[in-house]
Amino acid sequence: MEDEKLKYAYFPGCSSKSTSVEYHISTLRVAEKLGIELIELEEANCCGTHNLEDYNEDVWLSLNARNMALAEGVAASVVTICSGCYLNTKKAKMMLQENGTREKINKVLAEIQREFRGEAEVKHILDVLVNDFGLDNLEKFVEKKLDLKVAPYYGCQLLRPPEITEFDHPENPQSFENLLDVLGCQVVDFSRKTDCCGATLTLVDEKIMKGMVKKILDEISKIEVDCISTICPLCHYALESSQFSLNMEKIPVLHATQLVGLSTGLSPVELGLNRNLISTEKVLKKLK
Amino acid sequence: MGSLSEKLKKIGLETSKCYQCGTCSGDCPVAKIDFSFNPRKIVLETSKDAWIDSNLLWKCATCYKCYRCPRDVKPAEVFSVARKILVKEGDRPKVGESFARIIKKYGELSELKLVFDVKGFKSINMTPPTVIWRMFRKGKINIRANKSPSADEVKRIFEIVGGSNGR
Repeated sequence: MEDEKLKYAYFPGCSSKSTSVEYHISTLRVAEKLGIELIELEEANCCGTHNLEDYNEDVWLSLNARNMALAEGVAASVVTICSGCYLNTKKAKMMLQENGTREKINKVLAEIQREFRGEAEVKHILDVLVNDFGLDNLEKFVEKKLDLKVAPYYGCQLLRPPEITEFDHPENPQSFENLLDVLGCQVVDFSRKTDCCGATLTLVDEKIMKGMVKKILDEISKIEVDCISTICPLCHYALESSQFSLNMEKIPVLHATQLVGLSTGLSPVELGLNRNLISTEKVLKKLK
Repeated sequence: MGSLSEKLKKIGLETSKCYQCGTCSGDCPVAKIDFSFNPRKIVLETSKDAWIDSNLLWKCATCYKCYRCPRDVKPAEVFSVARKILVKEGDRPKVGESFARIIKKYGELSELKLVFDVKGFKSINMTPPTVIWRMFRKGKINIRANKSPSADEVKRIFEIVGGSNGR
């Protein structure tokens, strides 16, 4: 049916309550505006990240199976806004297809009256906007072309390893560019768009993380963009907060959903633009 | 039982297939900053069952830039499984332990609690005061992070899995 409303179980992830609260808020507003139904999994747990996976694989599998079990009762797909949650949930789902693993983990879940059936498809918000909702459809909602020069930063875990993430090209993806193009942005290509920001190493070795994020910011500084756009809360935090320790002119970093919202007629406050660490004033001024 | 390389082989990760081309090291963003982290060399050491420093394995950012290994050795996956094996043999990686402790208690990650659990009072030096102040003002530091609605079930999962992993 052509007019059937898109409906998803929504897993916002841990940073939606702290460092990336505006990503969560703008996702909800944009979905509402576009008529995409997001049913938030309020009882969801942390995906654990690779840190928990490698420390205690069975707990990590059980936690991700639990999240997917929660989603199964709600919709055919579960959507995340965090690339870390995305990879972890998808990787766990793949491992849970293996012989014996699902049975073992379901024995754990049975103790808390849950069952993982493996029915929910795992999606990322970028995939939902670009492919499920579709750019032709999105174009109809665009009220204002955004006259901005934007560097789309993909980061790593939405794209790789490709046999798990199954989304776009692992090193030369185009989905984000195509999305921004529909919004009227001038999109710049840059070599480090699929590099890793290093956020996963913040607690392991901060020096490495700072070195990794600096290389990305150095390159973007040279292209002179109006803003960077991200699709992961960890990338967003790394690219924003690191600018305060680097000697550089600050570049605003907007979540992709914030740009979609601005273009489809939502107000900056509704999209939480006042909550980005780096002021978004410059961007808003240019749009006036 | 068995050696590390045998254990890896059992789940389809054959480090002996590596012909040392160095594609992984060339692609690895960590290796470009910290020269002690050389994926090609770690894979070689794994295939020879040499002693591996677990701290080194935990320096992998899990960005999977090494995915395009021409021999399909999957270095990032090898390091992940090697970390799992070492933990089972008694290794206690600090960050992994903190993740488990915080998630077990709250059901989700409070970034603030996690950072303090790993770094203690050194956490204060990690972020410039201007950033901390901005985060606080913008409601991004959740000081009174409570348990998530998932907390009881998550704690149960940790208890049920128990055994050698019952931490």
